Amino acid sequence: MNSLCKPRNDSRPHMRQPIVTVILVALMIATAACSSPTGADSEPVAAPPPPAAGSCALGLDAATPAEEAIRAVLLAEGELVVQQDIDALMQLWSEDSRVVDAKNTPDDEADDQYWDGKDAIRHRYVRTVFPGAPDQVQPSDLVISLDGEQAVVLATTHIGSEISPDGDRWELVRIDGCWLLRSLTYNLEARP
Amino acid sequence: MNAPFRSLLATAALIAGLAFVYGPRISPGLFGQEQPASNELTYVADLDFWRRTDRETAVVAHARFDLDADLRNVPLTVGEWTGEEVPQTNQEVMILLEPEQYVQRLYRNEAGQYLWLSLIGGRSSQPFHPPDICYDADGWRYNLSSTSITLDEGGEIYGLWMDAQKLFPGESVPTDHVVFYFYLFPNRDRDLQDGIVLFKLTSGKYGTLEDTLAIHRDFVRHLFNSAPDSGARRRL
Repeated sequence: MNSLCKPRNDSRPHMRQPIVTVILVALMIATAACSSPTGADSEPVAAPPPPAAGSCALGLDAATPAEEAIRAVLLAEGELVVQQDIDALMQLWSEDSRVVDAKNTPDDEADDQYWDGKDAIRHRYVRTVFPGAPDQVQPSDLVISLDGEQAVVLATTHIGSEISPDGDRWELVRIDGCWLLRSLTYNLEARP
Repeated sequence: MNAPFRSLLATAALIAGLAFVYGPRISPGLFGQEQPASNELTYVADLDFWRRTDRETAVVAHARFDLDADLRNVPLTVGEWTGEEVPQTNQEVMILLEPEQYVQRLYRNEAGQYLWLSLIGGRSSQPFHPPDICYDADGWRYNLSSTSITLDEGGEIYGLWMDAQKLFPGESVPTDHVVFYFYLFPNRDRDLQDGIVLFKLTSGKYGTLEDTLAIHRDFVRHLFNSAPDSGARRRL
């Protein structure tokens, strides 16, 4: 046997091992990257589930009694306004939601003012509500009327020192077991 | 092959593998990804300038909408519309807003319709009073919502619209304004110092509200080409 060949032959398994290991590591990394949704050449992957919404975003599950879940949503809305947490606030609203200013003329819808859709509601919070920096927003005297997957709530809202008896009407809808805000009509109390 | 050489080879292969896999994420430009062509003008559009919304999207424009450029270079001919400069002469506006640039254009088409384009640029929050606040203060009644515009080369750009009415003294019919607007940033950092431009269209009402918004959409489509990363609401 050629003396030069023998050590070479003997060394081959030892030489291959690190190279094979490196290639395997590189392949594992590449494979992991390909399965990542942020990879440039990644395969399409299923979208992650949507974030919990409405009452379910508050840690309440679908088995929570409707009235309890609805109260929790309305209380959370007030607390999140005080905290100015716009992202958490918007999770309480359904996609087709709206806010209406009844302008203290509850019998005349012609002068009502609308913010239609979540973009508009978000804008109203950020540009109109938050600048007032309310330190307390507390709905009270809740009168909840349930009708299957929908609910209507009449409420008196305390915003700081301002009290609006029966001035607010909330509409909620249950979607996938979660109660979401669908509309708020405020300034419903008629001017004296 | 001796041991040091094998170690060197293994290290080099590992580094090459890591660079291959993660390099494009670390420096997309270096690897030629997500970079617009050199003649493309890419901005970031959003409904709000203060807080990022899930409607934020990159948009490719046909003109420069950043404060390192003269906003008056935005074309005076936009599709079927021909514009003229109408400088803002209201000193109260200039004192109140202190904009770095304020371009006000009146565009007309052959049908006799008009459309105001306002481009208000600044590097602080002072110039950017939301239009609805001003309309409210001036006694207009309005409804507000959002709409999307599908761009010719793909993607959508979102803006807020206002449908406003006001009955002026001595008039029997209210005046209608339809306003559509969004904000433009030079990059996703949205640093005030980099500058922000409010893009705002104002017109009378031509037919229904939807008819009027269709006119606004057509105008915008002539100035913006695509929104490569737009789609459903993004998660922040």
